Amino acid sequence: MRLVLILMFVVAVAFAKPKIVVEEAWVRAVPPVSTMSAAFLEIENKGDENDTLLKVSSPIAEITEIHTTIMDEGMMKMRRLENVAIPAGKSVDFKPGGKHIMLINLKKHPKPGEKVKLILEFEKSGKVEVEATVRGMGMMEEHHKSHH
Amino acid sequence: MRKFYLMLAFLVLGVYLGSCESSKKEKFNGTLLEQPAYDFELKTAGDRKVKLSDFRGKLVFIFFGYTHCPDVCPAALQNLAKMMNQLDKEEQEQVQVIMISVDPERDTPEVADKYAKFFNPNFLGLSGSEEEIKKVTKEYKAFYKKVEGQSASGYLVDHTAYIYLIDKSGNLKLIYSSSKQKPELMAEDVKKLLED
Repeated sequence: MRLVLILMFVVAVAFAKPKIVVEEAWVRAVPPVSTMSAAFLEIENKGDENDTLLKVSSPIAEITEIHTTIMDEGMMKMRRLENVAIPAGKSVDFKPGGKHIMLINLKKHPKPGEKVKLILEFEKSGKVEVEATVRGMGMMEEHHKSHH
Repeated sequence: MRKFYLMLAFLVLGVYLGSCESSKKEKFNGTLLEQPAYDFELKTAGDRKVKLSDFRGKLVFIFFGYTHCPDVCPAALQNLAKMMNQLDKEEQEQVQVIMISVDPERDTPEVADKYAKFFNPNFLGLSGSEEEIKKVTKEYKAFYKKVEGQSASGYLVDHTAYIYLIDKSGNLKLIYSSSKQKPELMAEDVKKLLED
């Protein structure tokens, strides 16, 4: 009996794994004079083991970094994160005013409605590819949308 | 001792009248300041000089940001653009939005203006010399600090992200912290101020 239990435990540990689901991925459309943009998304770990986001890359940017915005006594500070823990059963939000993926030295300017590929690299789950939609801003595009 | 009681009575009366006064005052979504706004002179595209006092008679929104900022600055300008969208044409003509760069090293007046105009063609982007920007931010109690070695993008700039609203007579009327920078909240205040 004890052997069965031990066996079951071993099997359970061996099969425990993270299950990464990325949702709501979007990239901010920025003015043509801007050399950088940011990507936002929601990473959910539906598995039963913790995972860690190590890095992100995208064909539209020369350099990609994970940053977070901190509000400290009224000051907005951006700081680089080495990695981001994605605990089992938890969801981690990358959203404006918080964690975001910096797309630095844009090779191509993301236009509203376009899709941008993001490659997320996790410690255990490996590479996960996501298509992020470019979201426009300002009144002009929204004006357009409301007329269509 | 009698003097003391008299003073106390005045004090109580003063506080009472004060509270009456404030309850009569209009309620705004932004934090009420009401103090003279510093009249800066900076540059926009084409090295054209722009003074705050050029806009007397209009409501002026001021935001301190920088074009290499991918998160907070575009979000604030986007909210200001949406705010404009909630005003009718006549109201829009009485409102000017200005972004002042806190990164004069990388943001020329040209770049700052192009950046601002992306959000709304009537927005104005301003920059100036290091000293000029330092002076303006000090007067508005806005702070910024270069942070090296954080990112491969060069340096980052820590900065306060308030939106300031200057009234028609050049007074710093309202200030919006990041949680209050919502298009509908700012538009509501604009409509109230334009009614006066």
